[in-house]
Amino acid sequence: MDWLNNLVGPTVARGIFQFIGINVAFVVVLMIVAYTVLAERRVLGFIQGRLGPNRVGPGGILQPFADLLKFIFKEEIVPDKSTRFIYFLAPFLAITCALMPIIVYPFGPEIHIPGTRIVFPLVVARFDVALLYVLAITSVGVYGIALAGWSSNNKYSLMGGLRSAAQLISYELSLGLSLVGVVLLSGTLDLYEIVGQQGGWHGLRWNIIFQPLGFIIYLISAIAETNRVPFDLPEAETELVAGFHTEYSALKFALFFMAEYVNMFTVSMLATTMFFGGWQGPGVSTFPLLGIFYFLGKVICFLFLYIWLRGTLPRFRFDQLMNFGWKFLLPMAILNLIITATVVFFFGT
Amino acid sequence: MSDILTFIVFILLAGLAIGSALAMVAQRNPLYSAISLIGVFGALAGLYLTLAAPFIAAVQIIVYAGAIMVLVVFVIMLLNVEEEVRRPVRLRYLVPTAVLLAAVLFAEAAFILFYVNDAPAPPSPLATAEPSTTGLTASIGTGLFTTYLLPFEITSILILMALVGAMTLARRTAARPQDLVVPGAQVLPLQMVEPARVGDDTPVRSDTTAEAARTLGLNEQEQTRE
Amino acid sequence: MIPMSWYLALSAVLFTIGVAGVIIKRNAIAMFMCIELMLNSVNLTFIALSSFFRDVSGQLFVFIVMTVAAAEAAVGLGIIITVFRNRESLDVDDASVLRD
Repeated sequence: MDWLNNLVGPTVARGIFQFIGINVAFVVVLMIVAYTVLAERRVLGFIQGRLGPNRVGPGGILQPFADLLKFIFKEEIVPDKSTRFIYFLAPFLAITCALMPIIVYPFGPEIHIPGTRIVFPLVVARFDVALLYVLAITSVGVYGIALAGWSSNNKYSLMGGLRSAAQLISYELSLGLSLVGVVLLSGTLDLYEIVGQQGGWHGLRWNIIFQPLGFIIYLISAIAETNRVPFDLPEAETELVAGFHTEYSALKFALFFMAEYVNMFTVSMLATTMFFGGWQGPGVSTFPLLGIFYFLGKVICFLFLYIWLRGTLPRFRFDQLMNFGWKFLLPMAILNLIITATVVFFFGT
Repeated sequence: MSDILTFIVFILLAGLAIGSALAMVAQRNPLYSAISLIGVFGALAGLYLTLAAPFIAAVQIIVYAGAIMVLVVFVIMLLNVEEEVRRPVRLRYLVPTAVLLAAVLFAEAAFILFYVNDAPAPPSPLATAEPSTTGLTASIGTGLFTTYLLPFEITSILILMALVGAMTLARRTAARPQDLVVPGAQVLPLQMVEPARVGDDTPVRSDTTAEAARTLGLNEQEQTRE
Repeated sequence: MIPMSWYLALSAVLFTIGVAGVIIKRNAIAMFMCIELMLNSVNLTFIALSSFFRDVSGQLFVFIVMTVAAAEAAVGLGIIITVFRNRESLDVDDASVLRD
């Protein structure tokens, strides 16, 4: 990046580099998200013994674009008695909070372009409190759903919004506490460094070996955080029509829909980064580009797990959900934290 | 270059903070107030970033915007609070007093501020050029678990007390007798239940459908057919 | 570099708005939010001074203030819900009797 540094100075050069990085990361993530939707429908079809969408393009490969066009051309319906400003604000909040964490995840190791002196890490922004940043944005994400439910002026929407607020507050605790174990082992909040530390044993020294209980707690609360089956009570269609987005149509509904899948994706990325070694794997030290495939491959495994669960499990009842979160998951997370802290205290990292 | 950038960022964030704070006080719908307050918290988190305190900025968003305000919004939605009704204010002089007191307070603060500004700058490591590490996670952790260990522990006890207190408050008081819902129980005027005691006209609760029917002079089969 | 006095002035403005809000507002939740605003303006002062003197103590104070605010929120909102259950109103003028 020397020529760029000489041209416009280091601050602007870094700005330009990060701007390009952000756009590339968003395009990649949104493409994967679009195809997750298709994959979900095909896999669900397979699980339920039917075909799923296979008409648009070869094997249904163009289905996401057809869906998008359909969303764009649908009529926008705004309820008469809704609170207009908040009604329009809510979907934007949801999608913004879903997309913002992407910039801190390391997609791969430092890449050295052969024949030049250009070296750049495959992470858009790297800073000291990356993990806290992710948790902060996640915790703000609840407003999108809660405000959507309130502003629609519909009792089903309101119930969906209330349920979602209660559910997200409850499971955020377990989510945060399950990650503290990994932080204790690594001694840093910087995601890039956490991945870097999992590089031993030919790239297989993953944190899940030391934190199995923490990972299980993280997985369960992450599913609850993203409102997926079996914790999809905010939009339980048998009870609440469509929950918080009952009154949303066309592109605003598409934004909520997309936010849900982007959230799934970012939560899977966090799981990969914290527990499964991120881009680490056998052979990464010799072929750094392999890291990207390792990383995305692990994330896609998680996405498949989500779809599999959706095809398999029934939905919780609301009181069961609350009891499970507060009386089982949270104590287990605290237990995991105590055990990890004791071990780290006596044996070091 | 970077100085101008910092200046612009400060002006924007400060303007957002003051504007949102004013909007919060001016709004009569509590939910709009809450959203404005979230704006203030966001702007303050940005200001903390300009002050090289990234850890506190993140914690600000997590604790204030992500926990406290979610709780407030949840309560507003749960209680379904309508807009404040503009009823005859009992304390009519309150608004002018508030504005006056606020003006005095602000004038005092401004006075002290300019006075302090005139005083010679205290000798401090301000001039050193190397980047500060005070806002980073490691420095906060070190400070919290060495010098300030006792306040930290006391805070944890405070949190425990708040936890217990909130649970005690939110729990419905265990089954007071009049809260027990008896199927078919009705509130009847006293002259029907006890004609002898007509005088004070407080309603009396009868216990069962049968008793209510007997008092009303109804036949029980008629009652059940309904 | 922004002079420290600007941060302190901003903090004073926010604190003043919070004080005025507590006096003007009659809704319990709105008053609660004004108190949170005052706490935050104090936090800004702490962070500004801590950053300018390169001393981490100010940031630790802010950390503890936030914890206290969280505890206050839990208990305060519990009280507000209880009052609402008994009186069907959030107006502080309605809650003038200490029994139900």
